[in-house]
Formats: sequence, structure tokens, C-alpha cells
Amino acid sequence: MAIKGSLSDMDIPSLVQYVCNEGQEARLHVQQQDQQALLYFAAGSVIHAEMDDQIGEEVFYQVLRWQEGVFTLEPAVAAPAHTITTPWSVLLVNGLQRYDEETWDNTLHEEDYDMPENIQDILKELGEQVPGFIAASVVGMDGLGIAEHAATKVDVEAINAQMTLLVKLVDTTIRKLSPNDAVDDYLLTTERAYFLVRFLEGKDYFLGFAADRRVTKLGSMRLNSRIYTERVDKALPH
Amino acid sequence: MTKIDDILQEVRTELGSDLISTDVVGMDGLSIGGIITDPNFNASAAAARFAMVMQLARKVSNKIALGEVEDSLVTTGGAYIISRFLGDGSYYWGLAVTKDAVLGLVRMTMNEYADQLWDAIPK
Repeated sequence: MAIKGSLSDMDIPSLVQYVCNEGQEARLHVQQQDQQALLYFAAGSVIHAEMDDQIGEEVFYQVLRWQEGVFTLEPAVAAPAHTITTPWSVLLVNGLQRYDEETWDNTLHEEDYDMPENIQDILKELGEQVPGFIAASVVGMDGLGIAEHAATKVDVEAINAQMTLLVKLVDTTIRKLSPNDAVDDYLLTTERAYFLVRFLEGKDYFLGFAADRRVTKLGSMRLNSRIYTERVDKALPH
Repeated sequence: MTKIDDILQEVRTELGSDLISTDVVGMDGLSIGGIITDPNFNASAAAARFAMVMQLARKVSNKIALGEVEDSLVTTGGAYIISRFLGDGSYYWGLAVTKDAVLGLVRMTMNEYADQLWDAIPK
């Protein structure tokens, strides 16, 4: 059955992450004013995009910027061609980097560029405070990290994308069940780790970090989560 | 009263007035036993929605190699909501308590009763 919705409720990066994670064959029809595009998915990848007489990755990058409009997701629709081979996570990063570069305010002073490094320093410090620390990230609700620090070799990009999906679902769940309430933090306990997420002010970003549950103390994680979320929040421009 | 309800009543006694709601829920989102103390809490909607959260949590944890999910804790402005897989993961136990509850005690109580609840589910 087709799923229809508005891009104001679910944006293109979230839709792409969702469909790719499901691994299903599908066609996503997106319409913004008088523009229409089709994205095709199969086996956890974006494999084709078309808009008017254009096809391929460039169409994907254009559609990624659409923030208003409607979409229809139809499962089990095969692509007419295979024009995209880049992994979906790379497509998202490339697309959003392009968008950032184009919208970059040239009047910013050079000291403004220090911002990501400052946050990175805060994350490093967090890593020193938490026993069994694995990794920490500050992540936008598009699933892309703006700063990260890992004590071991982990695929932070994949973790950011996956955890964003989960955090969004938790946030929606609480808003639907109790419209006057809001999520403060979210803790996922697995057999190997604790993964704790806390929203930054305004809920456009969250700080997420993981620690080895055999070594760490949950109370210490929650306390550090509060302290370091405030610090990251102050370091981020609003 | 089923055995599940009996066990949940014991849990209620342990947690006292902090308990808002508790349910044993299948991964289809349907509750097979539960207690609600707050009439404003929509337990069936919560059961269904948290089944989705638990399913996604399991998928996410596997994809990022964190292993099997044991539980999920949401802290909101007014409550702690804990969902914990039971037995083979075909059911989960959801429990909502006020922020006045001692979180460590709630988690300990869930550890204590989880196996009993799994054993009480008719199979």
C-alpha cells in the first residue's frame, strides 16, 4: 500500500534513510509546487532518480533540498534504469555539503569556523569522563553528524543515521501519546552497551554517546549527558 | 485474573503510587495483560506505539553491532517509560512511572519480575 505525506512531516533525508533501511524495492514520488521527481530504491540503495528529462545523482541532489511539498511512497515498483551506484549515506552527506556550501554566509568571520572544533573538544572531554566510553556525536535531525569523537574504530556515520531514525520515532511516539510532554533523554540498553541520547535546545540536534555497559555507570552517564549537552548547546550558534 | 495480572499487581505493590501503567505486549502491539492507574493514560496506544519503537530499536542495534536490545528507557518531562524484551523477544514489558520514582529501583524491579512474566505467558 502506498504511503502519502507531507515533506514538512517527513523530510527527504528521513524518507531515504527509512526506505534504504527497510531494504525494500520502492518508488518515491515527490512534488514541490510545479516540480515533480521520482526516486527509485532497491536492496537498501537509491538506484535511480529522474526529473523532467534529467536522470541520476544530480536529480537526487536537487530533490534533497526540497523542504515543502508532498510525497507518495509506493512499494514494489521496479526502477526503469540503474543510474546511481553511490551508497545512500554518501549521497546524503554529499547533497547536504553542497547545500551548506551554496548557502554559506560569506560575511562570517574566520573565528566562526572554530565552532565544530570546539564541540569536538567538548566530546573528547566527555570521552575522558565516561568509563568505557565508545563514541559520542552531535547529530542533526537529518541524521548527519556535526562533530564526533570515538575511542575505538566504529562507523560513526552509520550510527548517527540509525540512531536518528530511532530518536525521531521516540519523539513522535511521546508527542502523540502526550502532546503536552516532551522527551528529555532516551537510553537504549543492549547486551554490549548503553546508548544515551539527549536533545539540544530547540530539538534540531542531539548529543548521543555510547559506553561499554560492563564498565560504565548508568548514573554517571546520565549526569554527564546533562552537563555536556548544556556545554554543546552553548557552543552551537543559534 | 491471569497469572500475568497477578505478577503485575505485585509489581504495582513494589512501585506504589509512582506506577502510571504497565503492560505485557506482543510485538504486534497488542497487550495481553496490564494495569493502568492513570485514567488519562492511553495504554493501548502506548502499547502499539512502543512495539514500533522496540522493533526499530532491535533493527538499529543489530545494524550498528551493539548486540541484542535489552531495554529502552524514555525520560520525559513527567515520566520514565521503560520497555524491556521478555524471553525470546516475541513480547515486551512496558512500564511507565512518574518522575518521583527511583529509577534504579524501577529497573531492579523489572529485572526481578521479567523472567516470571515470560514464564506466565501462555505458549
